[in-house]
Amino acid sequence: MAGVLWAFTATLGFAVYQIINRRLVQQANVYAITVIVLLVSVVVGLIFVPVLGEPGMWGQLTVAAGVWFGLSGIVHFSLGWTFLSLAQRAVGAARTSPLTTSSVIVGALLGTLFFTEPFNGTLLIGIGLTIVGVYLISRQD
Amino acid sequence: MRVPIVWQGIAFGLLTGFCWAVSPVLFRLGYAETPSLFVAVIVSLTAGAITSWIVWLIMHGREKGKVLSLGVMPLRSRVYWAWQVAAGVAVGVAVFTRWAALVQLSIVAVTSINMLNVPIVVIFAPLLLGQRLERTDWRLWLGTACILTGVMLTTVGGM
Repeated sequence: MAGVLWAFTATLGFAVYQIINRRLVQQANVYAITVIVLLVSVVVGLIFVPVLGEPGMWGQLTVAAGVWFGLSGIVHFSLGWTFLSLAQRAVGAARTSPLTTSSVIVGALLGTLFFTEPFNGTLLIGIGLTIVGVYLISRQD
Repeated sequence: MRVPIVWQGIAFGLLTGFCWAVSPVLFRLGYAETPSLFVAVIVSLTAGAITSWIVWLIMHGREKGKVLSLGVMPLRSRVYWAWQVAAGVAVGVAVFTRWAALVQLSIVAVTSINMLNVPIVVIFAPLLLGQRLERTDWRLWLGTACILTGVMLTTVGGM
């Protein structure tokens, strides 16, 4: 039950962020917004770690793990969130939000290509529906 | 030839999805070495912040005398800073509670619940920000339904 509560909290947090961010991108540089949002997030995270995490694990952080986590952060937060802000500035939060869920489709395709995960009819229908959805969102009255 | 603004937005939105799909692969490689979600998230958030800061400095380096400034940030607006900090807190809470959920639930369950952020944004963004900033029409709703159904099929089909 706690897991469901955490997941819903995450959902609300991300939705609130997207709506606030839409307001911010109207007024400021998207790179600056990303930096400050991430710095505040780190502070929030440092509060969460002792409550939810395993602070003792810091001693086990290897160089290789640090590099992979760092690259992951650059791709996910630095690039991904900058693109999110640029997309919001161009087409708004309501149109950007559904597009970001395409990460699930891309993830499934990457899994098929690089991790030999199965490609089946359900995935094909999912990709087809997503492409139709992207087309519809790109059309405005 | 200039790309229409709508298509730029669509491309950036899809690029966001692409980045968010690639990053878990890198994350998984690190997690195999050090299996701590919270250490991983703190390191990746910090790396993201430092990289964005460097990019920001480079972009503003083009404007003489503004390398270390906050550029176009409305520094004097307390309201702006309140929103900026609120955004950071929302992100921090979202990122860390998501990982807390992943410890207790399956990825499919967490992903499915997290997808609810889309209808929340589509419904509340126009209400809170106004139709001038957030224009909605039947195509947006139908497109959102198609994408969510497609993503749900992919998620469930991958179980």
